[in-house]
Amino acid sequence: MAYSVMIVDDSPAMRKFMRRVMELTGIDTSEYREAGNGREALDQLRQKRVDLILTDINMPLMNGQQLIESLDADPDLRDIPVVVVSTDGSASRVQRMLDLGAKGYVTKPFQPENLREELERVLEEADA
Amino acid sequence: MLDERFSLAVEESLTGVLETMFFTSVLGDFTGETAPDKITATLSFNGEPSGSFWLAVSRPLAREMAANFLGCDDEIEEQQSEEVVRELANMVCGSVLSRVENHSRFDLSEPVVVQEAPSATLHRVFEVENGTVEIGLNTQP
Repeated sequence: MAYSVMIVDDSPAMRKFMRRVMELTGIDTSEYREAGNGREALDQLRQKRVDLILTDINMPLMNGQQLIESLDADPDLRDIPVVVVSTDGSASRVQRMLDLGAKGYVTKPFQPENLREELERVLEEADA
Repeated sequence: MLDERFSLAVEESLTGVLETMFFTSVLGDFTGETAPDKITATLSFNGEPSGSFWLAVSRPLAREMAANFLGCDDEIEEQQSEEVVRELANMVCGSVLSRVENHSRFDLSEPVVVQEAPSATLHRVFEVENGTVEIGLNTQP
């Protein structure tokens, strides 16, 4: 199965890097979409869903935590798996994001293999 | 007072970020005079502890790092170099705080490029292939 993926990060450089790394993971991807913050992501997702969301936490207008909460409150979007990709690797932050509904968490910096393993686990769970 | 933990965390964090995300490595401490032409990004952090962080990369190295990070063979624009240095500052600062205080949450401000590096309680300069990376850090009492 080929997955459509949305990358949410306020840094265009990071979005480009994430897309490169996604390609290195070998995960079959049919489409990449990008958003600069949670609000942009929600606007796009209400027009057209994706199979997987990768999101940063610290972003202007709507941060990653607010995005996860908004997705969870939307019956049409709550089942899209979200993986947080953040510099904040503190145990309490990771737990908080998972408690809110994120399905995975990858701390920057990361190796492509780490991202691949986490995404494969999350996608496998979502497909089950 | 900044202790040895921060100094070690700065070195380990920069090494980790450069090797995994920028495909280059730290060669060691740099004791000479750094090139005046640099891109400096600064940000503040709130949590336990709170404080400020800055990172300066010599301009030719910043271009090279941007090319590696973005996977670009084309000419790197100044804006792209600055964006990548901001992202580097964000990642290194986050990594330092995660290493020093793994159980406390923290919030990082958006990194901004500044002309002059602020003063810092902890200041280290690292030699990297083709340039230097300077890091400054202050924590609030």
